[in-house]
Amino acid sequence: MTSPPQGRFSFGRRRLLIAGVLGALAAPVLAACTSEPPAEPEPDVLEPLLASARADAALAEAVAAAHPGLTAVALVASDRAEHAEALAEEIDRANPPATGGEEQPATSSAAPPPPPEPPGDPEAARQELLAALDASREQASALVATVPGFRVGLVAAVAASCTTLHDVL
Amino acid sequence: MSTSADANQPTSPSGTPLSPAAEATDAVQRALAAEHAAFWAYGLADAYLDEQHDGALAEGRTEHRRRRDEVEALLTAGGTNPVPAEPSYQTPEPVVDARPALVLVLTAETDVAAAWRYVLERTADGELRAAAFAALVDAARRAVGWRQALGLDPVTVAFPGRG
Repeated sequence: MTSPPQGRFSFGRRRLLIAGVLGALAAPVLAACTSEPPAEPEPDVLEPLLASARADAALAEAVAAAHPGLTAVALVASDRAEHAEALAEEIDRANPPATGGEEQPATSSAAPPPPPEPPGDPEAARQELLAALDASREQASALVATVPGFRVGLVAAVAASCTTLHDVL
Repeated sequence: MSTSADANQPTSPSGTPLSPAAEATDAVQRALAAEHAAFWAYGLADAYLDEQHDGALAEGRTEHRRRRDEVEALLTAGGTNPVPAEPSYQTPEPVVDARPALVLVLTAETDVAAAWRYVLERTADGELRAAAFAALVDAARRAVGWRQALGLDPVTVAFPGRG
């Protein structure tokens, strides 16, 4: 009458766990090697611009609330919010969100992130916003050469607007 | 300001759609027409604006002349006759003092930005897009300066180049 030693049992269990981990790691690699079309559509190249527009608008709103004396911050908030709206519209137009009962565009289904905490020093807050606008300008400018004609006007306008907002901030 | 090239859809004189290359050329010609008009506008506005605007006027005038010359050279190199400047242009309102002069240069920059956006949308050529984009950004920045001078609120527009 033999029972498996305790050690072997636990080893076996650990092996299963390890196998499970490796299996989980291996799965996407294998999936990437197949020629099957991906289940998810390619992310829209405008998605990063949309994320930046939303982040900049949220940051500007937080800075405006914390430092009412800073001029032009409200302008950053409203212009960047307009960019976000136009970008979301274009992303949804190009790839209409699945309508499963309730109308819920994919681009707006993500839970809004918590409002950013702006620096307590007004000048530091301004600098943070300037850096964000600069990064957003570069991000949009980088797409101007490659996006199709019907999108380039929007992308170029976003980049140009970030430049002018940087100028007036 | 209005020029003769205001139609929305580029077509040949017979009304058929233009080829991609002809469409880009047509767009560049419109941008050149806008640059001619802007250069003229800065010259007229100069007579009505005091010295606090001298720097901005000189910069704008120089930039539009430079772009005009570059575009003329580009078109000529491509075997196209560049559109000439008009003898004069219709102004948004009679230019009799500083305010309409400021409105004139702001309108000129807005038209230039729209014209270069039109070029962007009608070419896939990387170099032409880069040039059109730089021109659009520059016009948008100068327009903000003129909006500030006019005391307009807001001083920026969210989509420079959108007509």
